[in-house]
Amino acid sequence: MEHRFQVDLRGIIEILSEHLYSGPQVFLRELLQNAVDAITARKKLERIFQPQITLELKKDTDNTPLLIFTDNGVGLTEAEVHQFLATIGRSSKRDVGASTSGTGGSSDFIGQFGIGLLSCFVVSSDLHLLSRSAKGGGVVEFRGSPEGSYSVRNVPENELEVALEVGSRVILRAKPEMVDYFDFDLLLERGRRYGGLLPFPIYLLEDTKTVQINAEGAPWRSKYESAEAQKIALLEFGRGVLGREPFDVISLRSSAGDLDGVALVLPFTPSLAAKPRHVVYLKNMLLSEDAEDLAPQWAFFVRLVVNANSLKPTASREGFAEDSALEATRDELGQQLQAYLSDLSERNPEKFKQLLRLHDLSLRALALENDELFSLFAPQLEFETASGPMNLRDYQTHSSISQGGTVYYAGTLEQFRQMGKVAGAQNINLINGGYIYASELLERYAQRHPNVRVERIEADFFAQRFEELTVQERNSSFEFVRLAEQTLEKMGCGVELLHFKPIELPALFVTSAQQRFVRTLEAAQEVAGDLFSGVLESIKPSNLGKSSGGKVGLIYLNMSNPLIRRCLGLTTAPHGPDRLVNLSDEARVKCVLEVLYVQALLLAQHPLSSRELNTLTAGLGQLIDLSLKVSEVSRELH
Amino acid sequence: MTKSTHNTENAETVESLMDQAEALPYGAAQKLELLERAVDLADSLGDVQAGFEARQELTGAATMGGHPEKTLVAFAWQLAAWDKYGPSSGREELEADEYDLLWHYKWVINSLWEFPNISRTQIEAAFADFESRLERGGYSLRTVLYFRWKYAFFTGQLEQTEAWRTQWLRARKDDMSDCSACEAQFLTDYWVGMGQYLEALKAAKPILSGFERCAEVPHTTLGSVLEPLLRTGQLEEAMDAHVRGYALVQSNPSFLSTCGDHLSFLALTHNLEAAFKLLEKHLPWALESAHLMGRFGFFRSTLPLFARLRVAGQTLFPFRAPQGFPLEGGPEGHTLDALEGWFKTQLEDLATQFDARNGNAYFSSQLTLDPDLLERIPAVSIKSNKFSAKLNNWKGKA
Repeated sequence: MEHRFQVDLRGIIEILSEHLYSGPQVFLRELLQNAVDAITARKKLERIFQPQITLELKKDTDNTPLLIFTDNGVGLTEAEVHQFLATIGRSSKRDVGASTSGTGGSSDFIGQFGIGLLSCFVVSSDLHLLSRSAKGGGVVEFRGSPEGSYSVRNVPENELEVALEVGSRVILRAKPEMVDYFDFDLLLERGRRYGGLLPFPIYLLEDTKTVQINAEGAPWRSKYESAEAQKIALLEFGRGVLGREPFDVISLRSSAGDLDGVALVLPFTPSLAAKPRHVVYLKNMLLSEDAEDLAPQWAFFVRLVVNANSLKPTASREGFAEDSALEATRDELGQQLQAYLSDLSERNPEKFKQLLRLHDLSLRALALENDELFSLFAPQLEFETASGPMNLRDYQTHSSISQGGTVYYAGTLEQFRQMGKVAGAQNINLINGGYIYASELLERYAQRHPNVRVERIEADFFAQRFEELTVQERNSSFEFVRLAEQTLEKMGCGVELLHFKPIELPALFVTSAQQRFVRTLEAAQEVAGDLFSGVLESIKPSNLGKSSGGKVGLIYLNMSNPLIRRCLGLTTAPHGPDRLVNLSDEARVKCVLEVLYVQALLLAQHPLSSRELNTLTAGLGQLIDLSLKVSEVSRELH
Repeated sequence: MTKSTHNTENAETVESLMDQAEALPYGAAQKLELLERAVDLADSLGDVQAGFEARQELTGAATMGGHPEKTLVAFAWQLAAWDKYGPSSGREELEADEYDLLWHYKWVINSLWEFPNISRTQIEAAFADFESRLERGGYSLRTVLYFRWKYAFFTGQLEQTEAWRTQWLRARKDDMSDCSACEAQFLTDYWVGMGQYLEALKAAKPILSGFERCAEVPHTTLGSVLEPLLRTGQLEEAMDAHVRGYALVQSNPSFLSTCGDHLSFLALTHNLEAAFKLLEKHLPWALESAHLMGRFGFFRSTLPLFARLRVAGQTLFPFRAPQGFPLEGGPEGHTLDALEGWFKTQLEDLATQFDARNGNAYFSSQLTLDPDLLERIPAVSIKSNKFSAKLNNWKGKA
């Protein structure tokens, strides 16, 4: 025997209100959507009628607030009431459209009738609907309770308190905890948001007050006396949306999606990770105020307020479905935003510069996507260089002699920090390519300008420019280098002794990204269990780059630096243990080297491990101890 | 220039570094760099809690940014800290959520076979460890079955895949399971790999119609369906998928393989100049990537390009090699012979490494192109993102 599923309506309402809708107030959106669909359907039957929606706030005899929502759309017959209102989940409007016009499909309608009405249960203790169909017949009454039962009957005309023309009337009774949503100002404000663009009047009534909710219409569709007047009006509108006057307003129109509206250029710099949330209308009904992904990815400098007539809404009816129509729309919008930018750069270079400053990152991302705009922005974009922020045009002018026109950049912030000082001493103004999009922009610049050399450099670039020791120096420093290697080996650091600038710098620590990776890998291996220690061993790079000898870093000691020379002097003619301070020269040099090593790490802004920190503490302690002993001894001698 | 967002002078804290990183999108190298600094800083302070939290972010950024090797390193530390200090250690020195930890473990499991140096024994041991942790946490083993199925597929143990797939389908779904968008994505790849192109398109349908989406879906899907669409003669639809899909993946190195799908598509549809551009743009990712399976996929997608150039009688390969590219070109660029030879050697070398680990010849067998594919696919003119209703149409058909 066949059975029907039992549905717990209360449960479904709960799910809808908690998960599908963004808040109780969406009942108004759903009612408006249904009304708009009903009006659309009636237009297919009779070309000429004056569509109208009214919302009336009243008090019931027991003082419970009521909202009476009336449209003069196509209405419902008794059969349709059973079919659509009482059958949850059927997207009834599709069928209405097909049956009334024979051609219309689901795309003509916004809402899903039955589901939309269910949202009324979130605020109303029951659902009461009266309807007169345009197809004829009398008034049908539907009463539904959240428990899941409903009744339908034909209402004799003389029973109607208020006459009902063709159309539907929904009467909501406020639940005690939802009384706040039955408020004139709130309904006016929400009504404006949801239906402000609708091309037929929506009235809100209470007692003697009557207001047309959508009297103003879409500000970008209104006629203005002058372009100036339009601009002022749109900026004012933008202020209403953003809470602040936008930097600028751009009018938009896209044939894909049949879309019109405005882009508000944000007057502040948005976070890169924040997704812009757009206000979108579908067939002039608000769909969402938090729609993502409508503008191209790079366009995070605008917030859109648009209406689309032919995009598909998502299941929750709060955004557009990601399909090729949306993609095409996004593309057309992108082209218009780009046209605005290139136009602004010609028409008002000063304002364009302000825009560049405000939306630096957005425009960098855009420049990477579009070659034409790249040419427009690229020379004006600023980069962080060792001698301060600078745009590429100035950079090239300044460095044309010292660098032979080559643009040098460090790939990461860490490398930039490591190399900046040394680069400066070599008359190279290094650019920080570690900032977001910086490397990509520089590489693109090189691609677009084949005569400009753009070179990404690592620390060994400078090492190649460091001056080798003479044979004599090499011989005399043999012992010193051996000692340095011995001292720093336990840190996994290699040693090279060379001449370099600046001579004030005794030591330079460099590590490649790969060496650094190995450093962290080995640290993780120390704590990990057998399984992951083994897995990490398997992925450990076997080749750590040239001349690293398996080390995770390399320290360049500067032969031109006086301090290094003095250390070297101590190792070429070593004394035994000093009778004054009881410490051998060798031990003293070791101590100095350890401190120099940690100092070089700090100079490179390299985070210290606990072992390095201990080395620094111990080394400094020893040096302090030494200097105190020296002064004690010299006092004794006097 | 917005200097304030990466102020180099003010004292950095783990928190400030993590905040800065959070503001950056996945795929940005800077995001990883900031998180690595946060980890270093936490470690140098000996702060296990902060070190754990910074690594929690780092594993995510590394996974979504194309650096699975960094995920492994950070996760190994996390797992050790969890076992030593976490809630079940009895020491309660580390406050962390088991669900999050296991979710990140999924990323690790999902990446193990992508490194040819990780042995099958190690992978099996990791599966066993993961499985026992899921069991102890009360989670369904569906997640393990899912990865077993993926593992068998990606390592060419094709005689086992259907059995794993069936077991996976039967197991209980829970909140540790991948979302349905991600499952549909893998199913698409699976059917493409098995040569079942219509099945692949069917699997991709809910994603392509915009019904299902996730962090990496439809990004990867639009690349996965290119070959099935071409093979089933849906050329315009394929071009649409290319235009839509490439825009989504072009700026994040974790989509290296998908960029390869687009490269191969452009070459197959005779858009050689566009294919060159794409190769130039993403070759540095492939060269730098420690993700060798991704590198293999990307290098492999150059095969149609070389084949098409040969037919066209071209001898020079006029592309701008990235800095550090190991092969020197002549004054007019690289010769086709030299470059093709280089890529082939790289591919053979990678294939040998993978096959040695997997104990079969699955990777080597992928080094030759299907001649039928080359012959049958005509030129399709490139579309600059223009509206087209075609994709909607084929959704109805598939």
